[in-house]
Amino acid sequence: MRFFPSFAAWVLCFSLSFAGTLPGQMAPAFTLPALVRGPSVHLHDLHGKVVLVDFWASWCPPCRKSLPELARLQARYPALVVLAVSVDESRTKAIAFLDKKDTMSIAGGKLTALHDSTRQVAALYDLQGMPAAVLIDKQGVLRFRHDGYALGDLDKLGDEVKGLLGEH
Amino acid sequence: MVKSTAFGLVLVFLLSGCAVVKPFDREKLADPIMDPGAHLSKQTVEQKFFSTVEGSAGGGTGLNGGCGCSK
Repeated sequence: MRFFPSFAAWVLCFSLSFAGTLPGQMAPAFTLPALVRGPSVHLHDLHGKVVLVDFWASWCPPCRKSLPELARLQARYPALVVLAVSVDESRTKAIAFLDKKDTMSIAGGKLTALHDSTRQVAALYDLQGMPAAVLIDKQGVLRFRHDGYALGDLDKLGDEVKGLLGEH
Repeated sequence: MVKSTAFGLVLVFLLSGCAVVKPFDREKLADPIMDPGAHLSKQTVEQKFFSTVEGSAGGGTGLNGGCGCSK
């Protein structure tokens, strides 16, 4: 019976290893190169701003729907910084995806498109779905995360953004 | 007894060869070629060929019949 507590601890650790970075924790710092052109982005440089990091890929069908919605969200809240991070291995495929008609809003420069070709940042945030979004407050604390995509998800995200932008 | 059972379970889990592929690592798995149902016309031809050669139909899925006696 003495074995049981250690087994329970092992199960707990195993479960937590799938939990990812949880709301309330400091968002892991990262630096990523721009997908198309422009300088690299360091998360710590965005301290004092509300940042939405969205992970997407050209092989992820729901991302085709979520990216234009994110662009609309960014247009609604200009103070919000949206980092659209591609986890594609191939930069060419990712750019080709953005150039398609329904995601042209990204190419229009509304979002900052970054490239995580080695998926190190995605692993750092331990994403549980694709696409995945994390919302970081002005102090650099991860406040909200959403893995996967369904119709209406962006409304909920918009509410969270509105709340965080109102905080001092 | 409990210890050995738990150890056995852990051992089975570790040796099962299964791995969790993270959602962001599924680029190759998401390729349409990895979908067995993506090429319906090809499957139909293959099934027709199989039934002609073997003189039997079905057995391609768990739901169908088929004697499973090819070769």
